Amino acid sequence: VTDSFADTLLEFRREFLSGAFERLAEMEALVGRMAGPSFEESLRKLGHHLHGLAGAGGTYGFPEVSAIASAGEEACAAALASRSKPGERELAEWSRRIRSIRAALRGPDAADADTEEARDEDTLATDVLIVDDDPEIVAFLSTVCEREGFQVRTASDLARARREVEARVPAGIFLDIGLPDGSGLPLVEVVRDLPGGDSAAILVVSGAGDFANRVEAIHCGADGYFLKPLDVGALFRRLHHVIARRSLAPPRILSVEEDAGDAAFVREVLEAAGYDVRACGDASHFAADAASFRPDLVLLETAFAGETTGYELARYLRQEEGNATLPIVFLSARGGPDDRIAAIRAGGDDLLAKPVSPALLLATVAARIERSRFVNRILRRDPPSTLLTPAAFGSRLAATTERLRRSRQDRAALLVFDVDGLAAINEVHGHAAGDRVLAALGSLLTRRMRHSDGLGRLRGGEVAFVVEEMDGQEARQLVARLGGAFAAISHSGEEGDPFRASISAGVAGFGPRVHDAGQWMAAAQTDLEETKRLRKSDASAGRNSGKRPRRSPGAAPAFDVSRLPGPSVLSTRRPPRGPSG
Amino acid sequence: MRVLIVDDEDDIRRIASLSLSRVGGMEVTDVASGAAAIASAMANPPDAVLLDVMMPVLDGPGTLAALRADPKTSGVPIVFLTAKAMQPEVERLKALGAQGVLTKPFDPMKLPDLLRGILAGP
Repeated sequence: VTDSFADTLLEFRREFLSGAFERLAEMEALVGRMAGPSFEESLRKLGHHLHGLAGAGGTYGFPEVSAIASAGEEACAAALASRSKPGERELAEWSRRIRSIRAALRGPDAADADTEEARDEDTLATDVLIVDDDPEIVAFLSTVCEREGFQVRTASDLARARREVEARVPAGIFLDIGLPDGSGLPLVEVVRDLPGGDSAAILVVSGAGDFANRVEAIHCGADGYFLKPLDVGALFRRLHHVIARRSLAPPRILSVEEDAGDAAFVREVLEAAGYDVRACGDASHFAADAASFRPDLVLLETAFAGETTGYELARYLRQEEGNATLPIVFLSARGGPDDRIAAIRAGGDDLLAKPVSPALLLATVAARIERSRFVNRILRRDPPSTLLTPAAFGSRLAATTERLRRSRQDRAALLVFDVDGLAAINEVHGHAAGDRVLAALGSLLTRRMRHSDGLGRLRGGEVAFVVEEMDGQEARQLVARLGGAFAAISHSGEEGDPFRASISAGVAGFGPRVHDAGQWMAAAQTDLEETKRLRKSDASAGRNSGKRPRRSPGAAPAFDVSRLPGPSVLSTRRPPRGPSG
Repeated sequence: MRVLIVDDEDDIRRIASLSLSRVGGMEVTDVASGAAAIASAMANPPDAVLLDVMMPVLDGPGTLAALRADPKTSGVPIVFLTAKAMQPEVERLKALGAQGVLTKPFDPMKLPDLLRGILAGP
């Protein structure tokens, strides 16, 4: 179905949510009035609201809301039938139900704290952190946020913002770029590296119409970029859209089961809990279903009518590297030790003996999915080096050059990075350490440039990639920031001795003078050599006189932070200190 | 196919309407009460009615009785939409003369197929 359908659905869902929160407020008022004489009227109205939430909750992706509201609706009917006025305990119970519904509407983060303690007010999933040093903007955005049903936290500088997100990742962040203690962009990186940080909606708000900032914001993983004066409507539409999109898709479960009765049972239990279930009744369709449905978990019957067994299907799945973390749960009529061993050997995560209770099935599925999401998050955070081989990068670069040339694009730059003194690192700390430094560079670049594919290794060991929609000058800003981030990484040598390394970069902007990939690469390599040469003289000049030589325009940026004492937050606004400092 | 959706809850009416029209490609009219449903169906009999059970004033079964009583609408298939999906309730609603029963909450991506399935008969 089309995007506009999805957008309309999200829009409806947003309206459902704001209506639901209004309902909850009215319901709280009704519970307050239940102590009065017209308690039956209050109960009736309460029942009406619960009925509405029960029907709509699951339809809009909140199955838990439906479950709680449905139970509440029955309790309401029972209370009306008894014709007795609710006592203290009943009133407390109603308040608790309303709190649970609110928590369920606000998402899974709030559910952890959904105990008898009314801690839900400060552990919401629908909270927004406003990072801005302009009190007027903060006040204005806060007002709108609260009207839209968000809890608000604020931070006036980068350090405070860091503490706030580390305390808890908010559902949304409005991030100003120009903060008193530096650029706001590094916060995006901080958030994305936190557990759950991938799902936060980060909208960058900027006073300067600086295109490089915009590109960099998107490159480093922000979800949107807005210029002041703010179009508040657009800003909040985007916020709701990103939040909803990230929470809308329920986990997908592929259920492979020949027995129609068992299949229906599994489907019913899992769908009622809000999972997206695809049933595969024929093992021969399994490969196609697994490929097209991209399940988050596979439920496998062990024995089929034909020759194929569930264990074989599991082995088939595990052959694919991409399925390494896919949870596989077997359902078997037999649950003896031998069956368990077979299940584990085949790469299964669990084996449930039939008949399985709905509660056990749900608990197993939920725990396995949660676990694999966690593992995936860690893998994503520190991805195995996915750099292209020199040959693959060469052909990619040729294709990119040709495309840029034909479209007469000139906002692109080729970046080449090299680890400084790699030979010395190999000698002093061992080759394994040298390899780890290279891997760290690959990992940093893959993470930072998550929206650009085509990072590649060159024959000399350098790492290269193309940034589009940035000219050479803007690319240099990016290079400075990457250099700072790399210098802040602590590596360990053979004996565990910590050391730091630095990188040099060559930048070549694309332009009419670039005719082919070879020429472009040569320009970048020349720039890299020039950078290295300058840095050498820079370092010796620094040692001799404590002064840095002036740079020619267009030469490498100052990011010689190889001797900085520890991790540091660098920005383009505040040039890093040189080695003389 | 033209479907009349009857539900007093805005949240349900609009998403059911979106689902049947955009996912199911059906022509949809929606109204918020039993009385409005009767007026609409009499003026322009639809091919099917998706009818909420619990509504204030005139509920689903009352609306069904009124539609069945008039020759213009007596043949229109009626499918109930209910949050009470227990079997006895489903049997009770079918016994009233409904073609079938769909449950809330529903998946908007699947609702059109479920409705077509019921209308196609067992």
